[in-house]
Amino acid sequence: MSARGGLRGSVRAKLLAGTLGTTAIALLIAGIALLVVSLRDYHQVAVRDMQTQLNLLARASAPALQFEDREVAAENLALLALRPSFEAAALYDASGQLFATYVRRGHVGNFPEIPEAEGVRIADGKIYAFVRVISEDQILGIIYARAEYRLQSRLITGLGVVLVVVLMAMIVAVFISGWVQAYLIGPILSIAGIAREVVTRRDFSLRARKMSDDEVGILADAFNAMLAEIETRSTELERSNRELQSEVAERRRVEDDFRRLNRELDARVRERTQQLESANAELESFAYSVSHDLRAPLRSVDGYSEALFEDFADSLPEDARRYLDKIRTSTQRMGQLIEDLLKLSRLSRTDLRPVELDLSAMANEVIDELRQRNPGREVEVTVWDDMRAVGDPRLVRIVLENLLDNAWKFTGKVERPQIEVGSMQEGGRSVFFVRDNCVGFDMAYSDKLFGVFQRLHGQNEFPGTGIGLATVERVISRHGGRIWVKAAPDKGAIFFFTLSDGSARADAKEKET
Amino acid sequence: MPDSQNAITARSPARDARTRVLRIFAYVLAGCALVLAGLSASAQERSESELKAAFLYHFGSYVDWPANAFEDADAPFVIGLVGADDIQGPLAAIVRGRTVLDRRISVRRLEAGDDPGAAHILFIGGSVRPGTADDLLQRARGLPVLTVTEAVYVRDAGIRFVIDEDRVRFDISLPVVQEADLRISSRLLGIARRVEGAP
Repeated sequence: MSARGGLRGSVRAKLLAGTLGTTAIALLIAGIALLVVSLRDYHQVAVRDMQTQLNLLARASAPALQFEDREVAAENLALLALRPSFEAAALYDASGQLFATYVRRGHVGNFPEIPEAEGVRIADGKIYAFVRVISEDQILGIIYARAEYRLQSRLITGLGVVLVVVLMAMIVAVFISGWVQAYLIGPILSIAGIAREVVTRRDFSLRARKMSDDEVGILADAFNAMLAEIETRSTELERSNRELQSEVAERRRVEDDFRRLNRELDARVRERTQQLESANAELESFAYSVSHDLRAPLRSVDGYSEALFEDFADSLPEDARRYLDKIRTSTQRMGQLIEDLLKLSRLSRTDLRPVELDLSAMANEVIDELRQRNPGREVEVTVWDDMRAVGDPRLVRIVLENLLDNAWKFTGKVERPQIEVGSMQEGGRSVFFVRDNCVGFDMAYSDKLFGVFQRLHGQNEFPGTGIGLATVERVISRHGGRIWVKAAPDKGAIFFFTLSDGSARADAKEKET
Repeated sequence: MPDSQNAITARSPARDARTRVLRIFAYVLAGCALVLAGLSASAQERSESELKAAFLYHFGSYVDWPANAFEDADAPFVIGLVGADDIQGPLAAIVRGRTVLDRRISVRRLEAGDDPGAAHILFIGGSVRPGTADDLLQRARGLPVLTVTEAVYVRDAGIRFVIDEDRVRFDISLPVVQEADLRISSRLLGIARRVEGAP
């Protein structure tokens, strides 16, 4: 409130000072001008009046001098009693002797002994005049008179009047200023107060009161319009803020839900994985024991079939020998099946012992074995030199054996079979590939390739147990790698695989190389 | 009187030098004052006849004569004296070189039988016999002549000198003056001891 009071006070003080200053200066200038004019007039009137009076007296006194009538002369002079400003007068005859005198009551004569020259002079607040008495071109004598000359006292009185008028005018000006404040400044002060309220309370619903239809009223209207605009905007802003807040809250809630769901999902996945793992382990141990246990009876079937064939070959009819042969073939296939299954289940059980490998050499060894096993086939094999990787040599060899065996097998019906083993760098790790120009297959079935017992071709078309690629996939995933395939019918197939997840192991490999 | 000039000159420099003209004028006036002082050095002791002579001269300034009172523009202003030898000398001295109504002044000694109309102011002295005085006044009646007398027994004169409290004064008879077709200034009436016939 003190600041506000100070503000109001300053406006009022300025207005008051302006009003008073203007009033005082205007009145002082006008008053002093009037005073100067009035004093000048007074002086002129005083001098002229003196001369006129004395001239009249001189004319009236001529007979008195001519006829030596001092009484009449004194009576003439006494007429000056009608003019209170005259203090003393004297008539000198032609010889310069006092002829008649007049002294106003309460004053002293103090007549000059000798008359002065004709004229008017002013000294010590008095006006002195000498006028000759002339008749028929003769100087009969001289009239002297002394009168008050109140220029100084008039000056003081005039100044006093001016000051009093200025003071009264200033008092009136104070009232007028109060009126002006009430009727002109009041509305402005009211608007200023509202503005202060708005600023301090941040309440844009306040409105200035319109007190008049003049510029101040326009100011109030404009101020109110501005406030309304600000209020609208701030309301909109608040509303939009609220909406934004609720939106944010909603999003956060959704995020929380999402996170919770994720956590639940993770937990469920972990649970399921554990269940799956244990189920897998059970299944594998079951498969292992089954395979292991199946081997003994199968060997017995095979052995006795062989014994039967060798010992009773001649006594057996042709049909029986043919059946026996089929039994033996099936038995051997079954044995192979069991072997593969055991191999697969062993993969899950054995520990990895990764070392530095020369994949080029390993691939060449496998190719050599394939050539020895199938001496009649002409296959064009290209193995890139100096392919190196880190892995378990026994398991990686299984990968190469399976992939190359497949390639060898599926290029069997191609005119100029070609197989290529190579590698390339992708994303900072080595990607190896085995490519052939086999019959290929539809990529729509590529996800079935790596499942156990999944086969794309019939047993008659290409022999196989359907376990090979499953084994390959298992080995590669145990190394942290990945295997994928690209193929098209009659365009060949290309298997890609990596032997590391590309991070730590790849770094280690690069350091070693 | 010699120090009057000194007094004025001593005072003059002290004046606010308003005008040099005024100061010069002061010297001139001081000179005039000296002359006047010299002229009227004996005024204090002026005799009765001298005063009366001066009065006779001054009367001319306060009376209007009709135009037919003068023969022409150059005609002198005539003061006629009857039986007043004691006044003729002083009056002649006073009027010398002076004028009345812009006319030169002629002082004439008249006899009892002379035409009173020859004068504009006719003074009848105290030594004139009453019969002669009355005859003169009777003949002057209707003429533009201001009749003045010092004789106590003479009646029907325009102005009559009287001695009042050792001072020379005069009474004015308005009917006589008006019968002479003269107009007398109120300023002169104001000086008169008594005005007869005043309304």
